Amino acid sequence: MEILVTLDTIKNHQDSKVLRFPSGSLVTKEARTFAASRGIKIYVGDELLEEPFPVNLKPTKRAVISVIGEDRVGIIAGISEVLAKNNVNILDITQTSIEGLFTMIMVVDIADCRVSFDELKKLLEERGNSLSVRVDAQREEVFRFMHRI
Amino acid sequence: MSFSRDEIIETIRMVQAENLDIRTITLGISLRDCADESVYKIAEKIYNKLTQTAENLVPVAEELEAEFGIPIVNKRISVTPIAIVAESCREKDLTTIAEAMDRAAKELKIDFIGGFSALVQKGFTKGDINLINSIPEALSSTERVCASVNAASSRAGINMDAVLAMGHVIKKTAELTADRDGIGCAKLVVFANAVEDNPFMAGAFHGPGEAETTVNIGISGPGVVNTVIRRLGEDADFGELAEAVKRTAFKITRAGELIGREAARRLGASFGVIDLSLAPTPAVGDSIANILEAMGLERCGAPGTTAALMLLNDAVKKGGAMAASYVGGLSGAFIPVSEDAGMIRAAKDGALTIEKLEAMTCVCSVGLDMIAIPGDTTPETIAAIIADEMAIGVVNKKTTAVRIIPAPGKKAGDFVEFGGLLGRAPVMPVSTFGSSVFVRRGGRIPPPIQSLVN
Repeated sequence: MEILVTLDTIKNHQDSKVLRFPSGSLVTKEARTFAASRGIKIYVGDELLEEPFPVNLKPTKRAVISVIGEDRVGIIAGISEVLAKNNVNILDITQTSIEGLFTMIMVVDIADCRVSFDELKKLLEERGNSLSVRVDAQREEVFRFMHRI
Repeated sequence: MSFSRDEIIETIRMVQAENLDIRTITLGISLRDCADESVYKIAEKIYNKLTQTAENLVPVAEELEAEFGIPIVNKRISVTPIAIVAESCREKDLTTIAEAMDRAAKELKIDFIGGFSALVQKGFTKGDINLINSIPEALSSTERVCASVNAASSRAGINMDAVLAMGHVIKKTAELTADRDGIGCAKLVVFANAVEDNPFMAGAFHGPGEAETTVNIGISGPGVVNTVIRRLGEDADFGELAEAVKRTAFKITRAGELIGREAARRLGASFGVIDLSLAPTPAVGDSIANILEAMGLERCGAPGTTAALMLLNDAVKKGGAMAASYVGGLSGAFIPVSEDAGMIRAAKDGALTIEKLEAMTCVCSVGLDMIAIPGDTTPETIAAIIADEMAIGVVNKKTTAVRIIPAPGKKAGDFVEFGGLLGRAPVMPVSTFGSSVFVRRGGRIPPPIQSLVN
């Protein structure tokens, strides 16, 4: 009987949809998280183990888009157009223009984005080039991790 | 907005202007199931296991880089010390294994693979001896394989037979790679108190107490710390300096923590540790020496350098420890001479000597690192340099190491060029007074009284 079920036990049965262990088996949290990410259901005896709740890393579907460059007409319009076309919702937006230097920061929801994040970044970058501004897009977690305890 | 504009700009500036990056994602892989009696069988098993297990390492790292907007400079693998894996091997020459590791590294597009290693602080087994004898050939016939030997620990003392042997191994490795300034030695470390979860090369290996696969993260960001200290100006007192470094270290480490957890999740591996080391690169502005100089030293190596480094090292740990859930590895500022533009300048100007570097290793991680010395330095003198460094580690219960390059045909003042992350280094003079009677005594220097902690 398996007393302890670890991540590697699950990995060795990656192709299964359901894994059954005798009642009393201990399944590590790491193993449960991994199983959940691969859509594997784990039963210990007759009991279905619940997917562990990620205490420290709640995945969000938000990104921060920053635009820096020389101020001109149509920057926000240009960037927003790319976002709208790909079904990205703008949650928050702030912009300043001091002595000709334009900075804009947007928080957007990418949950229903039509393209991959990588693809969205490329589209934004291209648009930024045609507007002569620098556009960056990063997942929101980076800022949450670095600036919030 | 959930973040202020300044916070967002700060992060972007750290990445774009101050070289904030994740220095390395190192995937530790156990090779304990690759043992065999034939060296060729072992090599084959290792190649297969590595290419299968680490298949997604580079793609996942690139994915994370794009999503989070923080560069991940190196993708590496550490493996179970090969001396353990090859213990029951009939053949004595283990070069074939190193070559298989090298092939796997190239196939996977990772830059270094560590673990051609032996742990011999108290004595040698058959596998250990075979491995140590194979190091010069293995390092000269491969590009990406790194070797390390743990020759001392606070509990076991210093294995002086191993130390003397390593003096010869280093010399031989330099000779076999003489056409490239002895670059083989840049991939070879001798340790005291080696750690099992170090993500940094050349000393990384996957320790016997580790999980099957583990993600360890090495953070970086000397440029960020440097900017913060310069901005404080000359009036800030030491409390203010320490506070500024702590805050910055916290932010840098958080970025590493985020990437580490995500990487482990996507790779289906355990999340090991964040190594809180400040690691320089040869890039301008990415230098530890420049941080020390920003604190008010004319050149790194001037009197006061050790104190400045102590403050820096301690503040980085205090800030970083708060930011990471699991801290491990070497965790301390690195002072590799050839990989740090400021150190190179200080050494060239004569401000920084080997003796000063040795003192600095008492208060930081890791040791005499990437130092080029004259090609005619004897194996005995190299062994004695190693013994001194081991003594510092053993007594202070810290990791110390020696990665030293006796550059063939070069003398003090010449330059050696390794290129890439390994950089370039001025050849530093070494004391010409001999130590050969001392290092040839053999046996083991007993562990110090500090080791009796139970």
